[in-house]
Amino acid sequence: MEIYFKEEHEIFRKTIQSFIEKEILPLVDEAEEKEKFPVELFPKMGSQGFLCIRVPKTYGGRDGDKIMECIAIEELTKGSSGITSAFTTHGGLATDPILRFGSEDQKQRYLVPAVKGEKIGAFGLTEPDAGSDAASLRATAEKRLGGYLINGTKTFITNGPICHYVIVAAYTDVTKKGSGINLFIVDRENPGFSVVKKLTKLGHRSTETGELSFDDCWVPKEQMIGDQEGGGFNQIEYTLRSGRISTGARCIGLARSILEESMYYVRNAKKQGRMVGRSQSVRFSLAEMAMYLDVMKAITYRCAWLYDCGKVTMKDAAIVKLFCTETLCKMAYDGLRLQGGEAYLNSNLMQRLLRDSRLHRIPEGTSEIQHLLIFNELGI
Amino acid sequence: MDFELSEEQKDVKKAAREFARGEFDNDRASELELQLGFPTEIWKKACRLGFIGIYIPEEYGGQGLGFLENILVIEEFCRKDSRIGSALGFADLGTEILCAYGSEEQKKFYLVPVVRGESLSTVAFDEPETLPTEGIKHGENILICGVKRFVLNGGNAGYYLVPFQMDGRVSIILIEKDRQGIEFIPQEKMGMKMVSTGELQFKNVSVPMDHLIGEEEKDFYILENFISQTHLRLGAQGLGIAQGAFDRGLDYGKQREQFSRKLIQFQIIRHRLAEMATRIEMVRLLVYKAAWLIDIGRMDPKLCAMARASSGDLVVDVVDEALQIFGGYGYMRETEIEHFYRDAWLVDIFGGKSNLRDSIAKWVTG
Ligand SMILES: Cc1cc2nc3c(=O)[nH]c(=O)nc-3n(C[C@H](O)[C@H](O)[C@H](O)COP(=O)(O)OP(=O)(O)OC[C@H]3O[C@@H](n4cnc5c(N)ncnc54)[C@H](O)[C@@H]3O)c2cc1C
Repeated sequence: MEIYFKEEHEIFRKTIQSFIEKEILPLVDEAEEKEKFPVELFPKMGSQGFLCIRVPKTYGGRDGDKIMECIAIEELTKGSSGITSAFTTHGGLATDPILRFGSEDQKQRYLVPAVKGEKIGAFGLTEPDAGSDAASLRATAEKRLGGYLINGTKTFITNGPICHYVIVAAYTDVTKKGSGINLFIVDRENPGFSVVKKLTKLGHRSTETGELSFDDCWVPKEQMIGDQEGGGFNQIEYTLRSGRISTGARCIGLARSILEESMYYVRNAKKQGRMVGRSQSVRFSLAEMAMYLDVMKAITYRCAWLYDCGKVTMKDAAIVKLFCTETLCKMAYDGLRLQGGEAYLNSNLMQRLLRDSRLHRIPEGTSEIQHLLIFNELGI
Repeated sequence: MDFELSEEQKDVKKAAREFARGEFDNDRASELELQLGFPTEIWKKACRLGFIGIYIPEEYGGQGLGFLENILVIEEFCRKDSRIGSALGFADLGTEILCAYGSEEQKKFYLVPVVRGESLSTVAFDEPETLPTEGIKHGENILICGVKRFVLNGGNAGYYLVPFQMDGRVSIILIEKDRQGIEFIPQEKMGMKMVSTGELQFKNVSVPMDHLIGEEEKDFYILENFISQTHLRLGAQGLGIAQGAFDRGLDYGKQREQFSRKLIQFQIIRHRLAEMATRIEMVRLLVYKAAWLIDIGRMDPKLCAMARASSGDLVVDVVDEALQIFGGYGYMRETEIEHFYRDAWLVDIFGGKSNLRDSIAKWVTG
């Protein structure tokens, strides 16, 4: 891994680790239990420059690279996968389109406060009837009074209930399937915007996820990302390609916790005089976990490096996402089986790691969709 | 060879299915689950209809049917709702020990309330290896000391059957919950939340001698039989939960459209459903056969353990894949598959998967 990490990366890792230990870990259990995100973390993270790692200095960012972003995500997830969901969405899907395709004005109004953690962002693509097949989304943005009238419903939106703004995908031209989509920035105060409900989940309970409604939600044309109608789908693809690499980093964070918990269990059993570690099946399990973790790290950081060199393809990113998310689940399942009934108790971290790990095979393209993406680039 | 359930068994299965359909309400169950409550009303009704303790002889209020009938009921209940199903599936836990080895008095006193819906029963079995529960004779009584973990129904059983060591041997004693010196410490779990579970501490609990179960030399078999039957109870839960998850995945796959096609039109999803159905069928054969052997007096502990192990593997894989079919909806608590996913794991890991494989391996390799 050392081939990808420079000294500044190593220093950064240490810095964020100590922040997590001091500022985040003490909040995790309560946030998970109450299913409430500790929003005070946003400005704290922002003031340290941990939120939108790749934003240039001109907009208040730290001008980091993808590798650095992955380090941040890995370490944060190691602390709490639930809480990290909010930050990865904010620093990725909810700011990337503005950073890459937004106007100078949008950058000043949204990116700068987002970097500081003064504004929390969300990204609304999925709809009740449009998930994997995102191009079939029904939200519309009709040209009206020098702006656009947005109508539609978005669901499973990370940060939905706590966001200050949401980047929403809607059709400006319904006759052009896929290519007639645009992204708009909608403020929470917009009278046409509302949070329909907060959703409760199997895992990642400390992140708030919600269903959002846009009901005759008028925005001036300055809120559209990009300066012409259509082409939003490409902006989304660009954003997701980066997001899928970040998912690899999230899996590494969880995988480290699973291996650590499993090793702790075996060591602790030894202290109590139980020779769990003599069991070959336990040894094989731990060996496999270590192997999986190593491979996950190798492919994720390699892909982050490719991203930084400007050479990454969707296939590269899809391979990272598919391999890491599927492997992570396997590790979680082995981890539960290794500990037996004890892992089933709420007092044991393992059950939370299982519930959290199960998520990643679903968002940002399910495992099935990743297969299709990889195949598409094979060129048959 | 005859793979057909008897007419009566088919009726039992059908009755259990209809009862579950009519009585289990998903919304109310979700509320109850959040409060960690037990489905008292449904349980009492199930008792009135004879579903609980179905294998208990008629003279003690039961139906006098077999263990296979019990398996059929648990399977159908769990298929409709893994939470209520598991709570009812454990309601009479341990009464099979009393049926086989209890004295006339014990049966009269302790079986009747379980079938009548007045009391839950349980076996307090699991203990830290280094801290065995012990008994000392004290006049006409025995003093019990020790800690039992993961006691199912621990918080609301009327009595516990407790294995313990005395004079270098394992015996089993029945302890009513209101005896002096008993403390219950609840342990919250990821799933099966309607089954109150926790640690039971016995501090010099004085229990009369006549509460001992069985003739002492048989105690080893009592425990082995109990473990085998518990394997099958769990095996049946796994089977029912897997079937329920499959049903839901299939239904959803038939309704949900993406890319202008129903999900079941995607080959990969069709193949997975086919694979799930095949494996459910395989495990069902194993669980039923093991239960049938018990009923004809030829219990096979190896087969019971195999049934349980394969049911655990099955249920984890099926709930996992069913959840995947639901996509994002599967991860949301408002979708039933979410609790099927959490509940399934107990079947697989309770008592330790590796221990289970060790014991199967012992029988297989001799
Ligand atoms: C916790 C959480 C947070 C999320 N956060 C956000 C967010 O912030 N913003 C946002 O926009 N979205 C978000 N999502 C939504 C997520 O991106 C979608 O759930 C995901 O894209 C899948 O869509 P779906 O849920 O509609 O499932 P479907 O698309 O309905 O898929 C159902 C099943 O069918 C399979 N399938 C679909 N098409 C095919 C095919 N062609 N071949 C084979 N199989 C197929 C899928 O793989 C899946 O197994 C979030 C989801 C979750 C669970």
